[in-house]
Amino acid sequence: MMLMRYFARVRIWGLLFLCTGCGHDGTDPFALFDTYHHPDNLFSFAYLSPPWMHHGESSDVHPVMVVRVYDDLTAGGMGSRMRLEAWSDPEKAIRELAAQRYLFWKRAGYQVSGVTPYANYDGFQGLQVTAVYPHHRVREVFFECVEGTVAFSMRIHGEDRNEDSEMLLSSFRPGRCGGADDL
Amino acid sequence: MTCERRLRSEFLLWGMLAILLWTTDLVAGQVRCPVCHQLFVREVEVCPNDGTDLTLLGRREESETASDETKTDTPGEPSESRSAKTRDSAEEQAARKYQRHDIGGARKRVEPSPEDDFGEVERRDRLRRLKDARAGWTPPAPEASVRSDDGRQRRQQEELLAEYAVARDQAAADRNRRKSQSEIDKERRRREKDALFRDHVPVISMGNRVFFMGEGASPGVTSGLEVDANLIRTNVRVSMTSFVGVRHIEKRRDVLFLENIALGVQHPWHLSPYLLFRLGLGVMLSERFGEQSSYMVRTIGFDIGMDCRVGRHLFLSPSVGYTRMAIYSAGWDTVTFKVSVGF
Repeated sequence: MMLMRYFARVRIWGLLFLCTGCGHDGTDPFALFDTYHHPDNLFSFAYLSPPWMHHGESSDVHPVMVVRVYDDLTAGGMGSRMRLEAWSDPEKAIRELAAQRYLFWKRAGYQVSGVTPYANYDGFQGLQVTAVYPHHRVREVFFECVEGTVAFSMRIHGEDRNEDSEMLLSSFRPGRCGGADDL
Repeated sequence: MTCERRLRSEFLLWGMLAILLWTTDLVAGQVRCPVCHQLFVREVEVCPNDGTDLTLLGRREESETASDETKTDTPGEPSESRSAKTRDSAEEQAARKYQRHDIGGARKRVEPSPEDDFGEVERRDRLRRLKDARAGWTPPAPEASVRSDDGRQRRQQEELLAEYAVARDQAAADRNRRKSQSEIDKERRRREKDALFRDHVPVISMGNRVFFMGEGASPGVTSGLEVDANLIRTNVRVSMTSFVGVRHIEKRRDVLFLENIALGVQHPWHLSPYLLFRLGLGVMLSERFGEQSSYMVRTIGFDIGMDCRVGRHLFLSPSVGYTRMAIYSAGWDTVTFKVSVGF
Protein backbone atom coordinates (compact mmCIF):
# COMPACT_ATOMS: atom_id res chain seq x y z
CA MET A 1 0.00 0.00 0.00
CA MET A 2 2.76 2.40 0.91
CA LEU A 3 4.59 1.37 -2.23
CA MET A 4 1.53 2.20 -4.31
CA ARG A 5 1.28 5.60 -2.68
CA TYR A 6 4.96 6.19 -3.39
CA PHE A 7 4.58 5.34 -7.05
CA ALA A 8 1.44 7.43 -7.26
CA ARG A 9 3.31 10.38 -5.81
CA VAL A 10 6.13 9.85 -8.28
CA ARG A 11 3.65 9.78 -11.16
CA ILE A 12 1.98 12.95 -9.96
CA TRP A 13 5.22 14.85 -9.69
CA GLY A 14 6.31 13.48 -13.02
CA LEU A 15 3.10 14.65 -14.63
CA LEU A 16 3.48 18.03 -12.99
CA PHE A 17 6.86 18.43 -14.54
CA LEU A 18 5.92 16.92 -17.85
CA CYS A 19 2.93 19.23 -18.06
CA THR A 20 5.04 22.16 -17.09
CA GLY A 21 3.10 25.00 -18.54
CA CYS A 22 0.78 22.80 -20.53
CA GLY A 23 -1.60 25.76 -20.60
CA HIS A 24 -1.19 28.98 -22.49
CA ASP A 25 1.76 30.93 -23.68
CA GLY A 26 3.66 32.72 -20.99
CA THR A 27 4.55 35.64 -23.20
CA ASP A 28 0.94 36.85 -23.06
CA PRO A 29 0.81 39.91 -20.77
CA PHE A 30 -2.20 38.37 -19.10
CA ALA A 31 -0.53 34.95 -18.79
CA LEU A 32 -0.47 35.03 -15.01
CA PHE A 33 -3.88 36.77 -14.65
CA ASP A 34 -7.11 35.16 -13.60
CA THR A 35 -10.31 36.01 -15.45
CA TYR A 36 -13.65 36.95 -14.02
CA HIS A 37 -16.70 36.04 -16.07
CA HIS A 38 -20.13 37.38 -15.34
CA PRO A 39 -22.59 34.54 -14.73
CA ASP A 40 -24.80 35.86 -17.52
CA ASN A 41 -21.81 36.54 -19.72
CA LEU A 42 -22.37 40.31 -19.59
CA PHE A 43 -18.72 41.25 -19.06
CA SER A 44 -15.34 39.92 -18.07
CA PHE A 45 -12.00 41.24 -16.97
CA ALA A 46 -8.56 39.92 -15.96
CA TYR A 47 -7.09 40.35 -12.54
CA LEU A 48 -3.88 39.15 -10.87
CA SER A 49 -4.29 37.34 -7.59
CA PRO A 50 -2.25 37.95 -5.56
CA PRO A 51 -2.39 40.89 -4.90
CA TRP A 52 -6.07 41.33 -5.80
CA MET A 53 -8.51 39.81 -3.33
CA HIS A 54 -12.30 39.61 -3.26
CA HIS A 55 -13.92 42.05 -0.83
CA GLY A 56 -16.84 41.25 1.42
CA GLU A 57 -19.11 43.41 -0.69
CA SER A 58 -18.38 41.25 -3.72
CA SER A 59 -21.16 39.18 -5.23
CA ASP A 60 -21.49 36.96 -8.24
CA VAL A 61 -22.94 39.69 -10.44
CA HIS A 62 -21.17 42.67 -8.83
CA PRO A 63 -17.53 41.78 -8.12
CA VAL A 64 -15.54 44.02 -5.79
CA MET A 65 -11.81 43.44 -5.31
CA VAL A 66 -9.20 45.29 -3.28
CA VAL A 67 -5.43 45.43 -2.89
CA ARG A 68 -3.82 45.91 0.52
CA VAL A 69 -6.62 46.61 2.93
CA TYR A 70 -5.47 48.88 5.76
CA ASP A 71 -8.90 49.81 7.10
CA ASP A 72 -11.51 47.09 7.13
CA LEU A 73 -14.29 49.58 7.83
CA THR A 74 -13.59 51.68 4.77
CA ALA A 75 -11.94 49.09 2.60
CA GLY A 76 -14.65 49.51 0.07
CA GLY A 77 -13.97 53.21 -0.04
CA MET A 78 -10.75 54.78 1.03
CA GLY A 79 -9.65 51.93 3.27
CA SER A 80 -7.55 50.10 0.68
CA ARG A 81 -4.76 51.04 -1.64
CA MET A 82 -6.61 49.90 -4.78
CA ARG A 83 -10.21 48.94 -5.39
CA LEU A 84 -12.10 47.76 -8.41
CA GLU A 85 -15.70 46.86 -9.09
CA ALA A 86 -17.73 45.99 -12.14
CA TRP A 87 -21.49 46.04 -12.62
CA SER A 88 -24.15 46.26 -15.26
CA ASP A 89 -27.02 48.71 -15.51
CA PRO A 90 -29.75 47.42 -17.82
CA GLU A 91 -31.86 50.55 -17.53
CA LYS A 92 -29.41 53.25 -18.50
CA ALA A 93 -27.68 53.95 -21.75
CA ILE A 94 -23.92 54.42 -21.88
CA ARG A 95 -23.98 58.23 -22.03
CA GLU A 96 -26.57 58.51 -19.30
CA LEU A 97 -24.56 56.28 -16.99
CA ALA A 98 -21.33 58.06 -17.81
CA ALA A 99 -22.93 61.44 -17.09
CA GLN A 100 -24.37 60.16 -13.86
CA ARG A 101 -20.95 59.00 -12.69
CA TYR A 102 -19.38 62.25 -13.78
CA LEU A 103 -21.79 64.20 -11.58
CA PHE A 104 -21.24 61.74 -8.71
CA TRP A 105 -17.52 62.36 -8.56
CA LYS A 106 -17.96 66.04 -9.15
CA ARG A 107 -20.18 66.40 -6.12
CA ALA A 108 -17.70 64.33 -4.10
CA GLY A 109 -15.12 67.02 -4.66
CA TYR A 110 -13.04 65.25 -7.26
CA GLN A 111 -11.56 67.05 -10.21
CA VAL A 112 -13.25 65.31 -13.11
CA SER A 113 -11.74 65.64 -16.59
CA GLY A 114 -14.98 64.86 -18.35
CA VAL A 115 -16.42 61.99 -20.35
CA THR A 116 -13.95 60.89 -23.07
CA PRO A 117 -13.83 58.02 -25.57
CA TYR A 118 -12.01 54.86 -24.57
CA ALA A 119 -10.80 51.70 -26.34
CA ASN A 120 -9.92 48.57 -24.42
CA TYR A 121 -7.18 45.96 -25.08
CA ASP A 122 -9.31 44.33 -27.77
CA GLY A 123 -10.09 47.64 -29.37
CA PHE A 124 -13.67 47.75 -28.24
CA GLN A 125 -14.94 51.32 -28.05
CA GLY A 126 -16.59 52.88 -25.01
CA LEU A 127 -16.45 55.88 -22.72
CA GLN A 128 -14.32 56.70 -19.71
CA VAL A 129 -14.45 59.11 -16.78
CA THR A 130 -11.29 60.13 -14.93
CA ALA A 131 -11.51 61.83 -11.54
CA VAL A 132 -8.61 63.04 -9.44
CA TYR A 133 -8.44 63.88 -5.79
CA PRO A 134 -5.35 64.63 -3.74
CA HIS A 135 -3.61 61.26 -3.33
CA HIS A 136 -6.58 59.52 -4.94
CA ARG A 137 -7.47 58.73 -8.54
CA VAL A 138 -10.49 57.13 -10.16
CA ARG A 139 -10.80 55.57 -13.63
CA GLU A 140 -14.15 54.30 -14.86
CA VAL A 141 -14.95 52.83 -18.26
CA PHE A 142 -18.35 52.09 -19.79
CA PHE A 143 -19.40 49.87 -22.66
CA GLU A 144 -22.78 49.74 -24.28
CA CYS A 145 -24.67 46.57 -24.96
CA VAL A 146 -28.21 45.68 -25.96
CA GLU A 147 -29.18 44.70 -22.44
CA GLY A 148 -27.91 47.95 -21.00
CA THR A 149 -24.54 49.30 -20.01
CA VAL A 150 -21.65 47.58 -18.28
CA ALA A 151 -19.27 49.64 -16.16
CA PHE A 152 -15.88 49.08 -14.57
CA SER A 153 -14.46 51.35 -11.88
CA MET A 154 -10.99 51.39 -10.42
CA ARG A 155 -9.80 53.57 -7.54
CA ILE A 156 -6.11 53.93 -6.77
CA HIS A 157 -4.91 55.53 -3.59
CA GLY A 158 -1.57 57.29 -3.46
CA GLU A 159 -0.31 56.03 -6.82
CA ASP A 160 0.38 57.67 -10.13
CA ARG A 161 -0.50 55.98 -13.38
CA ASN A 162 0.59 52.37 -13.08
CA GLU A 163 1.15 50.13 -16.06
CA ASP A 164 -0.43 47.18 -14.34
CA SER A 165 -3.51 49.23 -13.51
CA GLU A 166 -3.80 50.37 -17.08
CA MET A 167 -3.44 46.83 -18.30
CA LEU A 168 -6.11 45.57 -15.91
CA LEU A 169 -8.45 48.40 -16.91
CA SER A 170 -7.94 47.61 -20.55
CA SER A 171 -8.82 43.97 -19.94
CA PHE A 172 -12.45 44.89 -19.16
CA ARG A 173 -14.62 43.82 -22.06
CA PRO A 174 -18.31 43.46 -22.55
CA GLY A 175 -19.79 40.05 -23.08
CA ARG A 176 -22.31 38.74 -25.57
CA CYS A 177 -24.25 41.90 -25.31
CA GLY A 178 -21.33 43.75 -26.79
CA GLY A 179 -21.00 41.36 -29.68
CA ALA A 180 -18.03 39.60 -28.20
CA ASP A 181 -19.21 36.01 -27.94
CA ASP A 182 -15.81 34.41 -27.41
CA LEU A 183 -15.24 34.93 -23.71
CA MET B 1 119.03 -51.37 76.71
CA THR B 2 119.08 -54.79 75.32
CA CYS B 3 118.17 -55.52 71.72
CA GLU B 4 114.99 -57.13 72.72
CA ARG B 5 113.80 -54.09 74.54
CA ARG B 6 114.74 -51.85 71.60
CA LEU B 7 112.74 -53.92 69.15
CA ARG B 8 109.73 -53.89 71.46
CA SER B 9 109.78 -50.09 71.73
CA GLU B 10 110.16 -49.61 68.00
CA PHE B 11 107.26 -51.96 67.41
CA LEU B 12 105.08 -50.03 69.78
CA LEU B 13 106.11 -46.78 68.24
CA TRP B 14 105.37 -47.86 64.69
CA GLY B 15 102.14 -49.47 65.81
CA MET B 16 100.97 -46.29 67.52
CA LEU B 17 102.03 -44.30 64.50
CA ALA B 18 100.16 -46.64 62.25
CA ILE B 19 97.13 -46.50 64.43
CA LEU B 20 97.36 -42.74 64.53
CA LEU B 21 97.68 -42.51 60.78
CA TRP B 22 94.91 -44.97 60.28
CA THR B 23 92.59 -43.08 62.57
CA THR B 24 93.45 -39.74 61.11
CA ASP B 25 93.06 -41.06 57.66
CA LEU B 26 89.73 -42.55 58.55
CA VAL B 27 88.37 -39.35 60.21
CA ALA B 28 89.97 -36.79 57.91
CA GLY B 29 88.60 -38.52 54.72
CA GLN B 30 84.90 -37.81 55.45
CA VAL B 31 82.88 -34.66 55.17
CA ARG B 32 79.14 -34.21 55.59
CA CYS B 33 77.14 -31.91 53.42
CA PRO B 34 75.15 -29.39 55.52
CA VAL B 35 72.18 -29.33 53.05
CA CYS B 36 71.57 -32.93 52.08
CA HIS B 37 73.43 -34.37 55.13
CA GLN B 38 75.20 -36.95 53.06
CA LEU B 39 78.73 -38.13 53.81
CA PHE B 40 81.43 -37.74 51.21
CA VAL B 41 85.13 -38.37 51.18
CA ARG B 42 87.39 -35.48 51.77
CA GLU B 43 88.37 -35.28 48.16
CA VAL B 44 84.86 -34.33 47.17
CA GLU B 45 84.88 -30.56 47.04
CA VAL B 46 81.34 -29.92 45.77
CA CYS B 47 78.28 -31.79 46.83
CA PRO B 48 76.81 -33.43 43.73
CA ASN B 49 73.25 -33.17 45.05
CA ASP B 50 72.94 -29.47 45.69
CA GLY B 51 76.26 -27.95 44.72
CA THR B 52 77.31 -27.02 48.22
CA ASP B 53 80.96 -26.12 48.56
CA LEU B 54 82.13 -28.87 50.95
CA THR B 55 85.58 -27.40 51.39
CA LEU B 56 84.00 -24.29 52.93
CA LEU B 57 80.71 -25.50 54.32
CA GLY B 58 81.26 -29.24 54.72
CA ARG B 59 81.31 -30.54 58.25
CA ARG B 60 84.07 -32.93 59.07
CA GLU B 61 82.56 -36.04 60.51
CA GLU B 62 84.03 -37.31 63.91
CA SER B 63 82.42 -40.69 63.76
CA GLU B 64 84.32 -43.72 62.49
CA THR B 65 81.26 -44.74 60.46
CA ALA B 66 81.66 -44.30 56.75
CA SER B 67 79.67 -45.15 53.62
CA ASP B 68 80.69 -48.08 51.58
CA GLU B 69 81.86 -46.02 48.73
CA THR B 70 84.13 -43.91 50.98
CA LYS B 71 85.95 -46.77 52.79
CA THR B 72 89.66 -46.51 52.49
CA ASP B 73 92.06 -49.42 52.25
CA THR B 74 93.94 -50.70 55.37
CA PRO B 75 97.64 -50.12 55.86
CA GLY B 76 98.32 -53.82 55.27
CA GLU B 77 96.92 -53.89 51.80
CA PRO B 78 99.20 -54.41 48.84
CA SER B 79 100.33 -51.34 46.99
CA GLU B 80 98.62 -52.29 43.72
CA SER B 81 95.21 -52.28 45.26
CA ARG B 82 96.07 -49.09 47.08
CA SER B 83 97.17 -47.43 43.87
CA ALA B 84 94.11 -48.74 42.10
CA LYS B 85 91.85 -47.34 44.77
CA THR B 86 93.74 -44.12 44.65
CA ARG B 87 93.30 -43.95 40.90
CA ASP B 88 89.60 -44.68 41.25
CA SER B 89 89.07 -42.08 43.86
CA ALA B 90 91.02 -39.65 41.74
CA GLU B 91 88.83 -40.52 38.80
CA GLU B 92 85.73 -40.20 40.85
CA GLN B 93 87.06 -37.01 42.28
CA ALA B 94 87.63 -35.61 38.84
CA ALA B 95 84.20 -36.72 37.77
CA ARG B 96 82.58 -35.11 40.74
CA LYS B 97 84.75 -32.04 40.46
CA TYR B 98 83.79 -31.33 36.88
CA GLN B 99 80.24 -32.48 37.21
CA ARG B 100 77.72 -29.59 37.24
CA HIS B 101 74.90 -30.19 39.57
CA ASP B 102 72.65 -27.62 37.92
CA ILE B 103 72.80 -28.76 34.31
CA GLY B 104 71.89 -32.38 34.53
CA GLY B 105 74.20 -35.31 34.77
CA ALA B 106 74.11 -37.30 37.95
CA ARG B 107 72.03 -34.76 39.77
CA LYS B 108 70.29 -36.32 42.65
CA ARG B 109 67.03 -34.62 43.37
CA VAL B 110 65.13 -35.11 46.50
CA GLU B 111 61.87 -36.60 45.41
CA PRO B 112 58.92 -35.08 47.24
CA SER B 113 56.90 -37.37 49.29
CA PRO B 114 53.30 -37.75 48.28
CA GLU B 115 52.09 -35.86 51.28
CA ASP B 116 54.29 -32.81 50.47
CA ASP B 117 52.55 -30.01 48.60
CA PHE B 118 53.99 -28.33 45.54
CA GLY B 119 54.97 -25.26 47.48
CA GLU B 120 57.11 -27.19 49.91
CA VAL B 121 58.85 -29.02 47.11
CA GLU B 122 59.55 -25.71 45.41
CA ARG B 123 60.98 -24.34 48.65
CA ARG B 124 63.34 -27.25 49.11
CA ASP B 125 64.46 -27.05 45.55
CA ARG B 126 65.09 -23.35 45.86
CA LEU B 127 67.15 -23.95 48.96
CA ARG B 128 69.37 -26.39 47.26
CA ARG B 129 69.82 -24.38 44.12
CA LEU B 130 70.27 -21.01 45.72
CA LYS B 131 72.65 -22.36 48.42
CA ASP B 132 70.38 -20.83 50.99
CA ALA B 133 71.38 -22.35 54.34
CA ARG B 134 68.69 -20.42 56.11
CA ALA B 135 66.64 -23.21 57.50
CA GLY B 136 64.31 -20.84 59.03
CA TRP B 137 62.99 -19.45 55.71
CA THR B 138 59.29 -19.54 55.67
CA PRO B 139 56.95 -19.15 52.71
CA PRO B 140 55.12 -15.83 52.28
CA ALA B 141 51.67 -15.30 53.69
CA PRO B 142 48.79 -16.65 51.59
CA GLU B 143 47.42 -13.13 50.95
CA ALA B 144 50.71 -11.99 49.50
CA SER B 145 50.87 -15.03 47.32
CA VAL B 146 47.31 -14.37 46.10
CA ARG B 147 48.16 -10.77 45.25
CA SER B 148 51.22 -11.87 43.43
CA ASP B 149 49.09 -14.45 41.60
CA ASP B 150 46.57 -11.74 40.57
CA GLY B 151 49.34 -9.55 39.30
CA ARG B 152 50.85 -12.41 37.43
CA GLN B 153 47.48 -13.30 35.89
CA ARG B 154 46.89 -9.68 34.89
CA ARG B 155 50.27 -9.52 33.25
CA GLN B 156 49.61 -12.80 31.49
CA GLN B 157 46.25 -11.47 30.25
CA GLU B 158 47.82 -8.31 28.94
CA GLU B 159 50.45 -10.31 27.17
CA LEU B 160 47.75 -12.50 25.65
CA LEU B 161 45.81 -9.45 24.44
CA ALA B 162 48.94 -7.99 22.91
CA GLU B 163 49.68 -11.25 21.21
CA TYR B 164 46.08 -11.38 19.93
CA ALA B 165 46.34 -7.88 18.49
CA VAL B 166 49.55 -8.75 16.74
CA ALA B 167 48.02 -11.94 15.40
CA ARG B 168 44.92 -10.09 14.21
CA ASP B 169 46.95 -7.52 12.33
CA GLN B 170 49.02 -10.22 10.82
CA ALA B 171 45.90 -12.09 9.72
CA ALA B 172 44.54 -8.96 8.07
CA ALA B 173 47.81 -8.44 6.30
CA ASP B 174 47.72 -12.03 5.15
CA ARG B 175 44.19 -11.59 3.84
CA ASN B 176 45.20 -8.56 1.87
CA ARG B 177 48.15 -10.37 0.44
CA ARG B 178 45.97 -13.28 -0.51
CA LYS B 179 43.65 -10.98 -2.54
CA SER B 180 43.52 -12.19 -6.05
CA GLN B 181 45.46 -10.40 -8.71
CA SER B 182 42.27 -9.71 -10.63
CA GLU B 183 40.80 -7.82 -7.72
CA ILE B 184 43.96 -5.80 -7.45
CA ASP B 185 43.84 -4.98 -11.12
CA LYS B 186 40.18 -4.08 -10.83
CA GLU B 187 40.89 -1.75 -7.96
CA ARG B 188 43.75 -0.20 -9.86
CA ARG B 189 41.56 0.43 -12.90
CA ARG B 190 38.86 1.98 -10.73
CA ARG B 191 41.35 4.30 -9.11
CA GLU B 192 42.73 5.30 -12.47
CA LYS B 193 39.24 6.00 -13.72
CA ASP B 194 38.39 8.11 -10.68
CA ALA B 195 41.61 9.98 -11.13
CA LEU B 196 40.73 10.52 -14.78
CA PHE B 197 37.38 12.05 -13.86
CA ARG B 198 38.97 14.07 -11.10
CA ASP B 199 41.37 15.45 -13.64
CA HIS B 200 38.76 16.26 -16.29
CA VAL B 201 35.54 17.13 -14.44
CA PRO B 202 35.30 20.04 -12.02
CA VAL B 203 33.86 19.57 -8.58
CA ILE B 204 32.21 22.97 -8.46
CA SER B 205 31.67 25.58 -11.10
CA MET B 206 30.24 29.07 -11.15
CA GLY B 207 29.01 30.98 -14.13
CA ASN B 208 26.37 33.04 -15.84
CA ARG B 209 23.22 31.63 -17.42
CA VAL B 210 20.99 33.55 -19.82
CA PHE B 211 17.52 32.61 -21.01
CA PHE B 212 14.29 34.37 -22.03
CA MET B 213 10.90 34.75 -20.32
CA GLY B 214 9.14 37.27 -22.52
CA GLU B 215 6.01 39.26 -21.74
CA GLY B 216 4.17 41.15 -24.43
CA ALA B 217 6.65 42.92 -26.64
CA SER B 218 9.48 42.55 -24.14
CA PRO B 219 11.84 39.57 -24.69
CA GLY B 220 12.18 39.14 -20.96
CA VAL B 221 15.95 38.56 -20.87
CA THR B 222 16.77 36.73 -17.68
CA SER B 223 20.36 36.41 -16.58
CA GLY B 224 21.97 35.51 -13.36
CA LEU B 225 24.57 33.62 -11.41
CA GLU B 226 24.50 29.84 -11.37
CA VAL B 227 26.55 27.60 -9.13
CA ASP B 228 26.95 23.90 -9.95
CA ALA B 229 28.14 21.22 -7.62
CA ASN B 230 28.99 17.90 -9.25
CA LEU B 231 28.10 15.26 -6.72
CA ILE B 232 28.97 12.23 -8.81
CA ARG B 233 31.74 12.41 -11.37
CA THR B 234 31.91 9.18 -13.30
CA ASN B 235 30.40 8.23 -16.63
CA VAL B 236 27.16 9.23 -14.89
CA ARG B 237 27.09 12.79 -13.71
CA VAL B 238 24.80 14.07 -10.99
CA SER B 239 24.87 17.69 -10.01
CA MET B 240 22.94 20.27 -8.01
CA THR B 241 22.48 23.76 -9.36
CA SER B 242 21.47 27.02 -7.76
CA PHE B 243 20.46 29.99 -9.88
CA VAL B 244 19.66 33.56 -8.90
CA GLY B 245 18.89 36.06 -11.58
CA VAL B 246 16.84 39.04 -12.75
CA ARG B 247 14.16 39.07 -15.42
CA HIS B 248 13.97 42.33 -17.34
CA ILE B 249 10.44 43.34 -18.44
CA GLU B 250 10.46 46.92 -19.72
CA LYS B 251 10.39 48.94 -16.52
CA ARG B 252 9.80 45.96 -14.23
CA ARG B 253 12.47 43.70 -12.69
CA ASP B 254 11.52 40.26 -11.44
CA VAL B 255 13.93 38.28 -9.26
CA LEU B 256 14.24 34.56 -9.90
CA PHE B 257 15.55 31.85 -7.57
CA LEU B 258 15.86 28.34 -8.95
CA GLU B 259 17.15 25.04 -7.59
CA ASN B 260 17.82 22.32 -10.13
CA ILE B 261 19.03 18.77 -10.02
CA ALA B 262 20.71 17.40 -13.11
CA LEU B 263 21.36 13.86 -14.23
CA GLY B 264 23.36 12.97 -17.28
CA VAL B 265 26.29 11.27 -18.90
CA GLN B 266 29.82 12.45 -19.49
CA HIS B 267 32.96 11.21 -21.14
CA PRO B 268 36.25 12.21 -19.55
CA TRP B 269 38.77 13.61 -21.93
CA HIS B 270 40.75 16.79 -22.36
CA LEU B 271 37.48 18.26 -23.64
CA SER B 272 34.89 16.39 -21.63
CA PRO B 273 31.46 16.59 -23.25
CA TYR B 274 28.35 16.03 -21.22
CA LEU B 275 24.61 15.81 -21.62
CA LEU B 276 22.43 16.69 -18.65
CA PHE B 277 18.71 16.60 -18.00
CA ARG B 278 17.55 19.14 -15.46
CA LEU B 279 14.54 19.43 -13.19
CA GLY B 280 14.00 22.41 -10.99
CA LEU B 281 11.81 24.36 -8.66
CA GLY B 282 12.01 27.95 -7.72
CA VAL B 283 10.28 31.20 -6.98
CA MET B 284 9.91 34.45 -8.84
CA LEU B 285 9.49 37.70 -6.92
CA SER B 286 7.63 40.34 -8.88
CA GLU B 287 6.27 43.77 -8.04
CA ARG B 288 2.77 43.95 -9.50
CA PHE B 289 0.24 46.70 -8.77
CA GLY B 290 2.75 48.17 -6.32
CA GLU B 291 2.86 44.99 -4.23
CA GLN B 292 5.57 42.34 -3.94
CA SER B 293 4.16 39.02 -5.07
CA SER B 294 5.81 35.60 -5.33
CA TYR B 295 5.08 32.89 -7.84
CA MET B 296 6.31 29.30 -7.90
CA VAL B 297 8.36 28.40 -10.95
CA ARG B 298 8.87 24.93 -12.40
CA THR B 299 11.58 24.12 -14.90
CA ILE B 300 12.55 21.17 -17.03
CA GLY B 301 15.17 21.00 -19.72
CA PHE B 302 18.49 19.73 -20.88
CA ASP B 303 21.99 21.07 -21.36
CA ILE B 304 24.80 20.08 -23.69
CA GLY B 305 28.18 21.32 -22.68
CA MET B 306 31.84 20.65 -22.35
CA ASP B 307 34.34 20.85 -19.54
CA CYS B 308 37.59 22.23 -20.94
CA ARG B 309 40.67 22.06 -18.81
CA VAL B 310 42.52 25.35 -19.18
CA GLY B 311 44.92 25.05 -16.31
CA ARG B 312 46.07 22.76 -13.63
CA HIS B 313 43.03 23.42 -11.47
CA LEU B 314 40.81 25.48 -13.77
CA PHE B 315 37.98 24.46 -16.09
CA LEU B 316 36.00 26.45 -18.58
CA SER B 317 32.52 25.03 -19.23
CA PRO B 318 30.31 26.50 -21.93
CA SER B 319 26.91 24.97 -22.49
CA VAL B 320 23.74 25.48 -24.44
CA GLY B 321 20.37 23.98 -23.75
CA TYR B 322 16.63 24.15 -23.75
CA THR B 323 14.38 24.93 -20.79
CA ARG B 324 10.65 24.94 -20.30
CA MET B 325 9.68 27.41 -17.55
CA ALA B 326 6.20 27.39 -16.04
CA ILE B 327 4.27 29.56 -13.61
CA TYR B 328 0.75 28.38 -12.91
CA SER B 329 -0.51 27.27 -16.30
CA ALA B 330 1.63 29.69 -18.29
CA GLY B 331 4.79 28.36 -19.86
CA TRP B 332 7.89 29.70 -21.60
CA ASP B 333 10.06 27.72 -24.02
CA THR B 334 13.49 29.19 -24.11
CA VAL B 335 17.04 28.54 -25.18
CA THR B 336 19.61 28.86 -22.44
CA PHE B 337 23.26 29.79 -22.64
CA LYS B 338 25.78 29.33 -19.92
CA VAL B 339 29.47 29.93 -19.39
CA SER B 340 31.05 28.87 -16.14
CA VAL B 341 34.41 28.51 -14.52
CA GLY B 342 35.08 25.35 -12.54
CA PHE B 343 37.60 24.03 -10.01
